[in-house]
Amino acid sequence: MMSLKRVLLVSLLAMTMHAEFALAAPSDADMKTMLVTIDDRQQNNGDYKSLVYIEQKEKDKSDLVYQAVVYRRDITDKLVILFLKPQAEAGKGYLRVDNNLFMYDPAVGKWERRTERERIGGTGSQRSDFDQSRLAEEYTPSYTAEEVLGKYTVHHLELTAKRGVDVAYPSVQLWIDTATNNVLKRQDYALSGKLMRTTFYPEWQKKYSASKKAEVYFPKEIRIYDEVEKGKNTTVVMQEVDLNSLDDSIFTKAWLESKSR
Amino acid sequence: MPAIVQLTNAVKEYPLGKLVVKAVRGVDLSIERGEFTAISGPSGSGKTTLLNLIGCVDVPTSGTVQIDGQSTSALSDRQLTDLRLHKIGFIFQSFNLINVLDVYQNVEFPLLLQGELSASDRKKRVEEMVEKVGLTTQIKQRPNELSGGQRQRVAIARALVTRPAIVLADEPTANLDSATGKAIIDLMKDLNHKEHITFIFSTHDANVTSRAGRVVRVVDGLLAQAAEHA
Amino acid sequence: MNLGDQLRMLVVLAFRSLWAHQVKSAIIGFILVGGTFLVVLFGALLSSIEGSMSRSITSSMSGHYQVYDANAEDELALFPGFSFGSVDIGEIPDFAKVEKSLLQVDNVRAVVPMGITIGTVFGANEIDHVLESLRNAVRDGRSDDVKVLGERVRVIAQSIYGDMEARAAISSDPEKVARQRDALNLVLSEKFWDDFETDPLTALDFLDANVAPLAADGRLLYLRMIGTDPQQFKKEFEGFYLVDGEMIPEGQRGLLLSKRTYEKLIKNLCARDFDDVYHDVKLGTKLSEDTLLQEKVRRISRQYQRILFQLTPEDSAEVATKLREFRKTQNVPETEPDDIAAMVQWLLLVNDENIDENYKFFYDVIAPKMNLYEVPVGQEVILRGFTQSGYIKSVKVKVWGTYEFSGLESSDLAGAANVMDLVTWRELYGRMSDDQKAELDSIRETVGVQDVSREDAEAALFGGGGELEVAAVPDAPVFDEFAGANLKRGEEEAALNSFDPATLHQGLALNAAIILKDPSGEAKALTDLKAQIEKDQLGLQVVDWQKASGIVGGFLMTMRGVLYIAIFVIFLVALVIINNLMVMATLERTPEIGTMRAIGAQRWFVMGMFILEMLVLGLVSGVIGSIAAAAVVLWLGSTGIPAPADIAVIFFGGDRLYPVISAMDVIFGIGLIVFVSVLSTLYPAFVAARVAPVVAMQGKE
Ligand SMILES: Nc1ncnc2c1ncn2[C@@H]1O[C@H](COP(=O)(O)OP(=O)(O)OP(=O)(O)O)[C@@H](O)[C@H]1O
Ligand SMILES: [Mg+2]
Repeated sequence: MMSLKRVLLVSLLAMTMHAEFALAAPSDADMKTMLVTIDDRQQNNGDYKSLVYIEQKEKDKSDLVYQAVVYRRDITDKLVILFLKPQAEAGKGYLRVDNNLFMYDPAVGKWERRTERERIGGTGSQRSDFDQSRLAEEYTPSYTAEEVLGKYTVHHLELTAKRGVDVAYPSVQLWIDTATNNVLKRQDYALSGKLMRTTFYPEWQKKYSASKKAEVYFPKEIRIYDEVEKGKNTTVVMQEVDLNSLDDSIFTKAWLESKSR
Repeated sequence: MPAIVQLTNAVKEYPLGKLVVKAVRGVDLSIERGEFTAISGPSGSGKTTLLNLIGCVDVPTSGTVQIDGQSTSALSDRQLTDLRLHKIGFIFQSFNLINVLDVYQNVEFPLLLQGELSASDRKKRVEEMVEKVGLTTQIKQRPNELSGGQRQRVAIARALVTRPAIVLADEPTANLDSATGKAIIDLMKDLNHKEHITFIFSTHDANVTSRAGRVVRVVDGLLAQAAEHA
Repeated sequence: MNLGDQLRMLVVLAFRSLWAHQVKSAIIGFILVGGTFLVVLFGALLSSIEGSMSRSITSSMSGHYQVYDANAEDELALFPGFSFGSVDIGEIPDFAKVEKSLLQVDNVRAVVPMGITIGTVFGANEIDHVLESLRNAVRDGRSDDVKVLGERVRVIAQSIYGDMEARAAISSDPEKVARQRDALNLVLSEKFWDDFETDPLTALDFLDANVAPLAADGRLLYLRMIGTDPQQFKKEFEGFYLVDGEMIPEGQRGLLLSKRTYEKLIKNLCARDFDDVYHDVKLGTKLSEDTLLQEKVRRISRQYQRILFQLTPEDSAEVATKLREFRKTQNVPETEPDDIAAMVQWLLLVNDENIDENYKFFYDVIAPKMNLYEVPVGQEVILRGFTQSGYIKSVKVKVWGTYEFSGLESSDLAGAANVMDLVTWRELYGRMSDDQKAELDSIRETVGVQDVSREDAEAALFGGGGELEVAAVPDAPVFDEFAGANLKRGEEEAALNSFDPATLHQGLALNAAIILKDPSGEAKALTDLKAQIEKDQLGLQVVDWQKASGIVGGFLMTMRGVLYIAIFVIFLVALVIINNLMVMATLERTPEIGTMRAIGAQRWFVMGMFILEMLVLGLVSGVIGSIAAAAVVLWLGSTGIPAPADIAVIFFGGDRLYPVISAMDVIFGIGLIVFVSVLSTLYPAFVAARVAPVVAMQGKE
């Protein structure tokens, strides 16, 4: 039902978009449209599966390296992250059901409830980096300025979390490419106003989805820089993406447990 | 034999602020062994200063002091102390006994400083000396339990116990009544006679001066005519 | 030959002069007696503390010496310090080699491998516990348990529902509260449990996702883990003794919690607070007079749900019946509400009169039906460690029992240490093997991410101006995520539950305790150890127990420092006072000194006279002061000084310190006082020696 609303909105917006943007500061509605577009492009009506590589570098520490598979069912807001490599970490996983994030460790066969800010596998990445984009749903945008980021012209937006929504960061700065409407840079702030992390999305890929009957966007690479512990940064690479439908059973605790048993 | 005491053009000046007080202004004085000499003169004339120089408790600003033929001008404090200990006995106007020590200990004190006699010799000498000054019964008493005359006797015993060549006494009778003073002078005179100890003492008292073998008169830091008695 | 006589004279003079100047002597003597008293008393107390600490610490964790990496960045601290930051004390990669080498040192009896790391235990909230048990029961098909546990879930849901009213009133998001209430209503409905029977997994996920988060959050417990060879640890540390449960069997994984941690951290909060109140009252505090304690009692009573949550409906009913009877014996009017919640609240809201009975009732009737401890003895616990490699490692290990160090039972610092086998500890500590490193490299190579620093990220990532959007190959074949990955836990890991005991002494440790055969030969052992380390190039440093105990040893050193500074200040003041008094005395005695000088006393004699006077005074005062201090110490030694605070327990080596006084303390005190006396009289003596003999002639009475 949510997605139906969205499809309507987007098709409506698609007609009004284009040229107007560059001329003047976008209105509240325009900005909302931008967020909706971003969210909508990344969601698939059906399911989503990706093979991701996560690497964290930290000064004076050995690197953390993972390969994991991410399963998403956007309609029901479900998400599974299952670690595949290295061997010692294989079988560990996360399951998001509604607003709960659970972590499973096969070494002890136990589930634990984790918070929104859980560092996935101890890296700088969070659940939201792998999950479907819900910017429009979670935040209210306001316009800062049109800026230049490298060779690109970008809209700089400031997003404030809506009341009662459970997000990792209450305030977000977003830089959106004016030409393609892709997010290039994002900065997350804590409630205190402290900059917590900066994220870059240098490349976006799109793939046709049969279930959505449109293209689904996903970042090819995410670079996350920890702004509190300097010198700590995490790179996430989407190695493969598959948009075919997945088995229902995947999004349960039992399935995750079974993979390592 | 040289004079036991020989002062040659001895001068003693005390700086007093910007002024200089000339206490002794060029004294030539020679005292022979065994003499019983009184130094007289008005108050402030320089008698004590003169005795200080003779007694080596002070050194002259200029001029020389010779004791028993030895010049003192080149001596260190240690050597002067040693000289005083062995050659000179002191009797003070206000007795200057060590109040925490009894008669015996006061008399023994210089002998101990000398450290030359054995304990038994020392004992003998002290007792002998105390007897000579007539204080045998008070030998265990502290100075503050004695009368002025008795104290001065203790002082005399202390001064004489080391058998010094010279005994100096600065107004030994000034703090005593005349009868006691006379007795003290008698004692000194007696010892001078019997033991041939040279006594040099200062005094205001004409009665005392009259008993001296020789009187040296000091006026304003200079020797006046010296009257000799028989 | 007469030096002796002269000395005798000086002594006589000294005593007589002291006597003659009674006021001056009394003042100085008083200062010196006081100074000696303080120095000897506090010196003895400190030595006693050191002695008891040395006994309790060497026989608990440190041994006589500790060895660890010579190039360690931080200092070894066996007891937790103020900062929670991780300390890097380096590693002993091959403990076997170190043990073999150090055992060659004559006086070394044993080398005990150790490692300290922090493990976290996720103390789940009650509903998480119940849901987990329920999930296991469903999986194992234990339908009776499913029924019991299901009922318990309903009890909890009911109680959460009761809280919802209050929560709705303060919530900023009424919609959310409404949703939560709907979820609870559903769980409380018959239909939900009918559905549960047909599809338990979906129902369980619903409970996990929608009901469990509404309960109060669980706690994260930080536990300090000492990995070691438990058998050897028990054998070598005489202070160690088991309290509950059993010893970790040889060759098995396991954890022994410290009794202190068990009672103060892991126990049910209500019961723990109740214990505290009970003990305070037993120690003589009056509840009626102590408002803080009253507040605590009220808080316990408010938290009654922590107890109710844990009772099954049958247990609840049983407890309610017994409570009703118990209340009658306590003369509570029948008109009071008699539902279990009200009655448990009443039971917990104790006063001076009923605390004994209520406490007893709680432990006799209710406690046996509860999980009194979040991590109970006999059960397995999951420990999480933030490993050296950065990966988070969870291990499941059985809590075999609890232990204590004798004398240190009530010390939080000593009680912070939980003992586990080194094999499990190594997993928690998590140093990566070479194979594992190679595996990471190969994973990394397949992707080959370029390192981009934060400073030039924008230029590197967006400076090229390339195409931002790339279309993926539309009909690429579906990838197989499990190709090349092996998620199954190997058999070998399960087998690792037991191990060859020898492995404890092979491989990694962080530090090691050295136990001596003859502790009195400590000094020589230290040189020998250092020589042996040098000879075999072990690259280790040796520290004594005091240094190894970190903050505790630091405290002791600080206390010593404070004592020395206090002594210094006392003596500085004494020095100034005595000096001034003596200078005054010198001036007063100028005629006497002048006389002595005139009749032949050398300067040294005068100086000697003054110094000897103070030497005598110092000695006499020192002896008097020492006797006074010794008397106080003996008295304290028979009654004992109670430890004023927890930290003191470790210093006192028990709840009370029984100080003793040693000859050394007295000698030190007297020696010091005599030294100070002489020092303080040097200047006055010098002044006296400068008195000119001529003053004797000026003396007027
Ligand atoms: N230490 C001193 N400093 C300064 N002046 C001094 C000192 N001693 C003595 N005088 C001065 O030197 C002079 C001689 O003094 P001295 O004591 O020798 O006289 P005196 O004949 O002994 O007097 P009196 O009969 O009063 O004892 C006096 O004017 C005295 O004031
Ligand atoms: Mg005179």
